[in-house]
Amino acid sequence: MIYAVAAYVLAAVIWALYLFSLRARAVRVKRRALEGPR
Amino acid sequence: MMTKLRIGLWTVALLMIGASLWFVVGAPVEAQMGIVQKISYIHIPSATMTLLAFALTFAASIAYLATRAWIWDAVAASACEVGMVFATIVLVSGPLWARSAWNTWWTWEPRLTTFLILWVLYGGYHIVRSSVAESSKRTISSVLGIVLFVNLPIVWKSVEWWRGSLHPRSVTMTGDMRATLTFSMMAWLLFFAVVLWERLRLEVLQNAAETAVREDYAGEAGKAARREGVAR
Repeated sequence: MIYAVAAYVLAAVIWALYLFSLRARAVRVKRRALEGPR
Repeated sequence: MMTKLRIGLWTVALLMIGASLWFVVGAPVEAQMGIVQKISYIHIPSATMTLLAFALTFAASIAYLATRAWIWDAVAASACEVGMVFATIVLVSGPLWARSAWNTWWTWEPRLTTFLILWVLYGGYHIVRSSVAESSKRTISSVLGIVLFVNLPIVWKSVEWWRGSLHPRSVTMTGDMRATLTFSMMAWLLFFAVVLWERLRLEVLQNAAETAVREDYAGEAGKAARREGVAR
């Protein structure tokens, strides 16, 4: 039981981290584009 | 229009994932392995999506080398990254199942070993992509995307080609268990599509930002050159 729950929880954590990283990268690219060339 | 479609697809994908989890809870408990068998409803779709993503990387890499259109390189890199996430889930969920079914977290049997090699090599794709010069990044990535594809049939056929494989060759399910697996497969396929789209948007955004910066630099350099010319 614990292994099955752990597998689903870990999968959810991995996806959450990945989607959060995608969002953070998109925000960074937009901010850099707005700032323009240094 | 595109935003509405995007939000709609995300909603449907998340609802389907939620429904698939509901079906997993309600699916019959396997007689021999017990509840731990339910890991297969995330393990098998994730493994299938991994192979699908890397096959897409292969196809898009060929398309990039043939057309030199940057969007194909973006598709290849995006599919490869999303495939890596699915592959990581396969490598995390597999040992949790193996601990119960084989009484060990890991064994160096053909399918597990070849899949780990696949994960390491495709991880290398991203390391190489981020380390090479911007001018050759796309070409080198595409060549890698094509060369690394050799691993896919090896992983696929490893259970037949090498003896001593503990990994099941195929999974036979009937009734509610089969329906749950089929629905989970569809849910994860749609989820793969929306995450791929999201990753591709980031690539498009990066490309637009880089182009804008280059044009700004070119503009500044042009103005400076003209000023120089006037001064002389």
